[in-house]
Amino acid sequence: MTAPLLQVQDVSRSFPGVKALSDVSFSVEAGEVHALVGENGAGKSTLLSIMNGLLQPDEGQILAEGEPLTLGGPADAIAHRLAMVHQELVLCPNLTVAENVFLGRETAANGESRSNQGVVARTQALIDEIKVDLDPNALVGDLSLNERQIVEICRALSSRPKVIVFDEPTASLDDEQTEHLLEIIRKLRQSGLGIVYVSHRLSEIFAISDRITVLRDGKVVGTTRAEGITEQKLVSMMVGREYDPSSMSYRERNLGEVALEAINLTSKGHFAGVSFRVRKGEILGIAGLLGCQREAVVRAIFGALPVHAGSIEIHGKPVRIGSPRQAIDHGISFMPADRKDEGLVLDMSVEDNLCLTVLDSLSAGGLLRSGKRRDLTRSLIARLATKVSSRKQPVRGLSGGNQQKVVIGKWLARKGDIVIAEDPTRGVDIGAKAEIWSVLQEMASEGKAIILIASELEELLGACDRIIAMNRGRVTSEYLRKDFDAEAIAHSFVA
Amino acid sequence: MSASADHPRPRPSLFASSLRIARDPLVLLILAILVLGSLTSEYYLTMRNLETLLRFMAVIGLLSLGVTIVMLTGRIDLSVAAIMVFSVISAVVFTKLLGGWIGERWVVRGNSFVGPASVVFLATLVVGCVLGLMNGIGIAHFKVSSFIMTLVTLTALRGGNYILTDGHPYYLQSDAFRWVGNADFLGIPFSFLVFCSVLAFLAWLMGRTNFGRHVYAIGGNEKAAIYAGLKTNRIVILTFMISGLCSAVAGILFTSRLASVDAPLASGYELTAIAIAVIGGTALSGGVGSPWRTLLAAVAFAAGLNLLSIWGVSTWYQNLAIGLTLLIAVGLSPASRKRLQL
Repeated sequence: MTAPLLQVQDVSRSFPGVKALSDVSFSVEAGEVHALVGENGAGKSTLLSIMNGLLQPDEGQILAEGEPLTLGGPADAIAHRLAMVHQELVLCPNLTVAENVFLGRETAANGESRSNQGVVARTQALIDEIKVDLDPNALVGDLSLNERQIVEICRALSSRPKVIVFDEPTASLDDEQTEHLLEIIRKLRQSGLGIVYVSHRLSEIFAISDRITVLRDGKVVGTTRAEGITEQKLVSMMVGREYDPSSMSYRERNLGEVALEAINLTSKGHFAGVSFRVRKGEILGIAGLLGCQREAVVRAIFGALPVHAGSIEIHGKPVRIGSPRQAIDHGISFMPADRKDEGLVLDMSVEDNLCLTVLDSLSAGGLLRSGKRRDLTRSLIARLATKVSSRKQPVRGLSGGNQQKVVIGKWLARKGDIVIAEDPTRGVDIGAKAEIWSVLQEMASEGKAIILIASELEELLGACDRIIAMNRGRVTSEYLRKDFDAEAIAHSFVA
Repeated sequence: MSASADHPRPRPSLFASSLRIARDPLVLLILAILVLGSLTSEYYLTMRNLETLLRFMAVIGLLSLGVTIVMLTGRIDLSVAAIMVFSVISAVVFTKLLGGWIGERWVVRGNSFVGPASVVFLATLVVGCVLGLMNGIGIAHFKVSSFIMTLVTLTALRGGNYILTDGHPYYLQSDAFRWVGNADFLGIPFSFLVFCSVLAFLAWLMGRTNFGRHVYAIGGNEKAAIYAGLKTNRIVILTFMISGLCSAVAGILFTSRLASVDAPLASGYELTAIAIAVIGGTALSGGVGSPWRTLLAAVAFAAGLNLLSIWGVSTWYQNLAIGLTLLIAVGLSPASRKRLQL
């Protein structure tokens, strides 16, 4: 019997105060997709960093086809034919596809032609290999997220790896693009590569993987064949307790009068003639594929994108919103999907972030009042069950779920009555997901009007009273909860 | 766990916190320089030398404080030294003209200025503020990059200096200038006391007020700050005004000490000021740093440079030493380490 392509053997790693991994073992065979799952903080990132040579294990080793490896850095990993496709796309937007694929390896070690044409041709060959449609001369800055993902995959493939590690490759892709990516991964598997696949999305895990290894608190809970396990059982393994899907479910509410109405809103280059209304106590979902401009619509309502025509009425009165500041003054809250770019100041503490929207009301004559800040922070941390070591902890060190709770807490503090939530559970683990959904349901029950965007249609179907579908900058259809039908809605995206 | 956030953490004891401060590399560097200085030169720790040192530090420290506040927003101010000199020159010229209007001759033979110093001081502060405001408006409202905007200001003001002085220095001859330049209290120069008051005010402003939180938020993540409803434009403009004001105060102290003001004065000081802010750990990308750290860096910088001068090391080697220190500081700074973190 031959040794597996890649074998992680009894790997342990500690950081000051935490044992991030203890005795973790798993292996990847040729032609296999091996999924790694676990909640945030389970140790996946540490494990991937060790496999990529960014961190050294305290104990244990990594073997390739039986040979122990010493990985001093990503370059070593690549040299041992172990490639990684990162969650956060690390590409230069100002370079072309081909230039990105061969970045840093323009000069060949073995005398191969790496002239510009050579690089383009070789990139084209890689693109053909995974049977996608992409111009190697296109500027990466002009590409959509999933096209960039393909560039990353080509880059990984260009080093002729035997094993490719995918770290949450679908975090910013919509359903259709995800399916496309999974198709590519299936082709790679067929060609005999070993794939390590890390994702939070269980539907993908079941769609793609042969075996699944579950991590919890730095330990392997178990490795099982994918066909032999139910989703519910898998989640129970991940969270370490029985999983109750009803905690995410919708609660019946009484809807009040119209809180916000958009009338024929147009923002040039983004969307045109968008009208909708949302009532107090209602969760309105906006469904659509990437590029449907629903992100632009909510940004325009929040004053972060110019509106060229149409109007917005709040509680029946027309308002002019020219900046986020004015939107906030009208009681609008906005929780952006991109926590790191738009939601949080990563180097500031949990407390500073939570209090950022309400500093004025927590201070006297511009002076900070630490007592009031502390009380508010404590109550928000408790209400959202945020796991932090101290309210002074910088948010950079929190897991995705806890960071998201800080974003939500920030707006809970502000007490706005119209809430825009954009993909509030992106990159968040199952446990935190349920808590976030339940907070949103609670907010609606308190009479807030909520506009929700989620990348997974399932989530919208679960949470919303009403869904409008958008396609290419226009609202195409509207569904009440009683008429929810996943297929019909998905169809209206592309119609 | 959520509960842990509610546990009152024991306050670090005075002993523990002083230990922590003593382990700070900048404090160690300062101590090392002082020990080395006292061992190698009997002159180093004399009152007279320390006074010189503190005077130099006050000026360069004020410039770096201003730059620090701007840098905390993730921007840069290259115009501090130019503003420092221009504000004084324009104030002197303004006062001269003012004298002309009311029939007084305040500039006498040999380009000596003998008019009222108080008018010059006031006008200097106003000019510093207005120049900062102009920088700020260009950067915040017209979205000019701060590097370009303040480079333009620097170049234009350096030109303006020559136009206003016609290439000749003004000699500042009045008791008020002499007093500001030379007064001391118990051996502590007046200019250093001014620096300390500005430092105390800025430390309070950055650490204890909404304005301070907002500045850090903008530097940490500008988009998040905008989305949180902060008036970012206004805050950015204010930081440039603070920087302009710091420069003007530095200009008053510097030219009073020299008892003259000349167009090419303090060329290159803007880079020294930025270097000190960076040595103090202020991140060029914004959001990280504090006036206190800038103080430590200014002390280390002034003490080190002074020692090199006493040793008779030439300016070229002094510059080389500054460069190396900067390199080490950047290497040690958390901002450059952050990128390696996982």
